Amino acid sequence: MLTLLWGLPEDGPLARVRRELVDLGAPFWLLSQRDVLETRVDLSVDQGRVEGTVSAGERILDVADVGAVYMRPHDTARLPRLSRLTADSAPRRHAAAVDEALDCWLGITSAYVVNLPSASAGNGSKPFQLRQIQQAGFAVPETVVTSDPMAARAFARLHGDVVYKSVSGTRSRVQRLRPADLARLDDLAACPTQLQRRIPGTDVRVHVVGAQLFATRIRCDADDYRYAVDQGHAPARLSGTELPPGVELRCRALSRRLGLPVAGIDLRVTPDGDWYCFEVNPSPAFTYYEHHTGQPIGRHIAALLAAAASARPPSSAGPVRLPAAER
Amino acid sequence: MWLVLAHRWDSAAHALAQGWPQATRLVMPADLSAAGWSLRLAGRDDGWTWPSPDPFDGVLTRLTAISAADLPQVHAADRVYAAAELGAFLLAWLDACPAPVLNRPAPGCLNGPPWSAEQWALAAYRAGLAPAPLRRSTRPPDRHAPATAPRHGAARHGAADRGGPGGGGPSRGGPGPDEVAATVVGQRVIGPVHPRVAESAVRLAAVAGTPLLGLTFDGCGERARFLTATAWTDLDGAAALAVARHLGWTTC
Repeated sequence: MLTLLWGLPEDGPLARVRRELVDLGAPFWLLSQRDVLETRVDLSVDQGRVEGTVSAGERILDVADVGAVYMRPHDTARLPRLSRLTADSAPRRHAAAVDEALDCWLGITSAYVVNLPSASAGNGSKPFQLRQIQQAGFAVPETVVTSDPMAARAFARLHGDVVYKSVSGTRSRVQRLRPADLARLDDLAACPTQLQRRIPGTDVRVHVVGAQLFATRIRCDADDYRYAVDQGHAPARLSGTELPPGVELRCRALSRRLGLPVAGIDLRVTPDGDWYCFEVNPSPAFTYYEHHTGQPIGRHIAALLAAAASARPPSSAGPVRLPAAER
Repeated sequence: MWLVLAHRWDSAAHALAQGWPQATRLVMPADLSAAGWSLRLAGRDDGWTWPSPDPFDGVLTRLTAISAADLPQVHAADRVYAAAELGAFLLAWLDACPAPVLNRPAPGCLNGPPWSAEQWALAAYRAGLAPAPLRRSTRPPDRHAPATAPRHGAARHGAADRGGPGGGGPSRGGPGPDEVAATVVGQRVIGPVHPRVAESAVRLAAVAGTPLLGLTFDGCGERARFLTATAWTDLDGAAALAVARHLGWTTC
C-alpha cells in the first residue's frame, strides 16, 4: 500500500514529507493540483464497497492501493491556469468537481488520512474549536463573541487588555483593542467579532505527530508573531523546548479528541507558569518551525504515513470503514 | 417557543411558523446581522444571548449554511466575508445552546453532518437499507462531456444537503415520478414505506445524529432501494404535524 500526497509540489510541508518518504523508501503517489485539468476521479459505491481510480494524464491510481494520505490542498481557483476564468467556465467547474470528488473519497476511504476534512473543519469556527479545547481540559482565554456593542465595551472595561480577531479565520490577524477602536464598536451590530482577554506570556507551538510531540518556544514582541515583521517588529526567535507532563498529556488528548493525528497546537505560558491554549491548526506549516529548531517533524510525519500505509490490508479484502455519527 | 432558523426563501419554514404562531419565532440569516447576539466562554458567566428578552425552548434549524445571498442588507463587497463570519458564529452558538437543537450542527453543516451522497449511501447500508449503486466521475474539460455529479444506476443523482439558492440549501424539486419520499421525525416515519424500511430509516437518522431527516426510495416495498437523504426536509401536511408533536407544539 502506498501514501497519496495531494497538493502543490512546491508546498513546503508537502515537499518535505515527500523527500522523507523517498529517504524511507516508502512508496507514494503525488497528485499535483497543478495537473487538476488533466485529473480524473472515478468513484463507485455499491453494497458497502468503495472502488475507484484517480488519474492524472497517463498515470492511473487505484484507490484500493492507497493506505495513507497526506493532504495539503490549496485553493485551486487561484492556480494560474484558472484564476482568470469565471467560476462557471468548464475548467473551473472541472477543478471544483475534482476537489469535491476527492473530498468525497476522503470521507469514505479506509486509508489513514492526515487530516480528514471532517476533522479539520472545526478550525473554521474559532469559538466552536475553543469550546472543544476547553472540553479537552485546557484553559482558554476569557472570550466573548458578540454583535452587541454594549457587551463588547463591558468586556473591554472588565479585562482592560483585550485582543480581537475574526470568528471564521478569514482575514484573521490578532490585534490589540486600542482606545481608538472603542468608537468603532457600534459596527459590531453588523457582524459578531471575537474579543479575548489578552494573555501575557510566551508563545509555544506544539506539533503533535501521532504519539510524538515537538514543542517550540517563540519569543516576539508582536501581538501575532506570524506577522511580526509586517507589524514593524523584529522577527520572532524560535527554539525547541520541553513541556510539563500535564501539558503533554493534554496536547495528546486534544489531538485525539479532535481526530487530528498531526496538529499544530498554539499555547501560551504566562510568567506565573499558567498554560493557555488558543487554537489547533489542522494543517500546520511545520517547515517554518523545523527550519528554526531542527526538529525532525517532517521525518516523523513521513514515518507515520509509511507505517500506516504498510499496516493496512488491501481494501478489496475487507469491509469499508463507514462514517461515524458526528455526535 | 421554538426558534426556527431558515432562509428567507424557505416557504416550508414560513408555512410552519404560520401554522404554529404561538409556538414558533422565525429567525433568518439577516436577523443575525443585528445587535444582541453573544457567546461567552471561560468567564465568570459562560453562556449566550440573542436579541430578545424572551426565553425559548429549542431551535429548529433549517439552515445548512449562510451564503452571501442571505445577506442583501450587507455591502456587496463584504457579503462573502460576513456570511463566513455569521456561519462560524452560528455553529458555535448552536453547539453551545443548552436547549434542544433539531438537528444539531457539525462543522461544515449547520443542521447535521456534512455528508456526501456516498457517505449517506454507506451509512444507509450499515443501517440495513439497500442503497442504489452510486457512481461519480470527473472528466477533464474541453473534449468531453461536463463532469457528472454522483448518479444512481438509472435514477437521478444523490443530493446532499447543499446547493440551492446562493449555496445555502438543496435544490428542492421533490422526488422523481417513481420515487417515494419519507420523513423521519424522531422515532416516527411519515411516508408510504415498508415497516422494515422505516425501521432502518430511523436507525440511519440515529447514526447520523439527525432526528429530522428526509429520504427518498425507488419504491414502497420491503426491497425498495435507498436513493437520497437530506436534513433539509419537506414540511408539508403530515410531516409538519409530526414535527409539531415531536417538539411539543401540539398534543393533537
